[in-house]
Amino acid sequence: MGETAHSPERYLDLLGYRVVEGALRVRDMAAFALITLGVVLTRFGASRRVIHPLLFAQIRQAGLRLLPMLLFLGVTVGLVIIGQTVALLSRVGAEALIGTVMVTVVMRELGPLLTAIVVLARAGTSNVVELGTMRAMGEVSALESLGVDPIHYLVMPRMLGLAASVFCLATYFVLAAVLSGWVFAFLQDVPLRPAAYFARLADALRWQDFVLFGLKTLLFGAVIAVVSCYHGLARPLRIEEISSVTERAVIDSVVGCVLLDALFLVGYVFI
Amino acid sequence: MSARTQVELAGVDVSGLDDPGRVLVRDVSWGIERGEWWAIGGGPASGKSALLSVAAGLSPPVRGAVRIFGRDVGRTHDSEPAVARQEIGFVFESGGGLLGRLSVAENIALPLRYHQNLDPAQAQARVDALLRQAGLEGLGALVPSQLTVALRQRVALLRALAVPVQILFLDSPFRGLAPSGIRWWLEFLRELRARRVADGEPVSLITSSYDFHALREDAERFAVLERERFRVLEAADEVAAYREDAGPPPQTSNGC
Repeated sequence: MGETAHSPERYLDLLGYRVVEGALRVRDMAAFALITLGVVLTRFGASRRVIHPLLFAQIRQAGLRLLPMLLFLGVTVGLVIIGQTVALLSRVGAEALIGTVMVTVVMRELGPLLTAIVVLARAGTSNVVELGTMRAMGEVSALESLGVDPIHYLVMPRMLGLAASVFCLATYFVLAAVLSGWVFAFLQDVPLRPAAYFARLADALRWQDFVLFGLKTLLFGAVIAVVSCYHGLARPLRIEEISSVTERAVIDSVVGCVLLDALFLVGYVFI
Repeated sequence: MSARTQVELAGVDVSGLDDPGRVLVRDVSWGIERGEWWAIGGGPASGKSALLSVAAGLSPPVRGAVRIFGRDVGRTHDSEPAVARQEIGFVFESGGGLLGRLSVAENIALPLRYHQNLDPAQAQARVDALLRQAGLEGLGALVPSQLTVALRQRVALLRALAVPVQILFLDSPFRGLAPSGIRWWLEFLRELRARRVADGEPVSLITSSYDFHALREDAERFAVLERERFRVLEAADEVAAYREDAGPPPQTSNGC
């Protein structure tokens, strides 16, 4: 008796296919990331009058233009977190933990991840569409025919630009959240003087927090850039495939950032 | 391989650009010598674009060896540029692969600026000279989507010529053009060849086309792709007869 459309064997086949396909994609993306890293290390200064303006354009597009939105999100998140936690901690007499909560929630987790997701939504998706269209229209082949390395011209500025953008935006996000948290506490007549609030924050912070924050945000930006550029460039595309490729790039970027976030948990356990 | 041979293909199989699994042309043995003008004929999907791409070192062959300027393209180390790309120009069909986000002037300046690390202002004189030479002054600020396909292809030609190429591949440049557009191309290419010969730096031209009608007077060597084979036409009557077999090219874009 043959396999029916809904037989367990068929689902197992499908699962196996997905697992193998996913593993191959991860391998290809890792290779793509290494090639890009090689180009960054060996050719950063090459053709700088052409490449560096592209890098600044990326920072402008993925960083500066998103700053108002990230500040708004930071202020909102600060209000929500401080509003909830101060009320809760005051009830159990544990206001001293407020610094730890802010550092753990905002600086270690929410700031980098939320910033990365906003940058992915704004710049990552537009990268896939732009590069996918270039690939489909033969512009990437044309670059190669001119001796212009597509990784150097298209990917390197995006990788560095997005890494710098996520780092800077996450920093502003954290600052906005911390300040708005104190303003909210002040307006609510919570007995929390600025000096005490910032002293508790400072007590909860260690130098490793700054190192891991920097590393994490830079890597989030690099992951978004590599995944979106990989999906836009790595294989021949037709125009009608671009929307599905964009969807896949968003999923892969989110999964990549969350997995990276989980890896950083190990680092936080040891500090 | 003689000293004048710039490109040599030996026993090469060529696959489709969109379908690498499908071999379109088999066992190609072909040499391009310095200053030659080749016309490559063949029907739709016969593998003209793919063959030109392999000969220009842009795509790898399925089988066989490709040597460009005496260097084996497939065996060169990655750290060493496989082909001196600045010496090979390639104009793609249907609009030439111009970058849609750059203006006409920026497109033409790109190879010059990238390879010589120039500011836009430093490349401007060369761009202006090329636009003037092609009669396209005033179009520098436009983006490719504002141009017809035929004009885009002319801009792509200028972009390829922004650096001093030794070989110029032109993939179906006359496709869909009105007779006046074809005349413009032929006059421009004749003038380019004459100027380069006078400068002591002859340029080789490799032009693909559905038939040889436009190129019969100018090209020196002719070859056709038929039934998966590359065949060089030696006799003039073979060239004339081939046109009868090929039939008219499909009209896909507006003329110029």
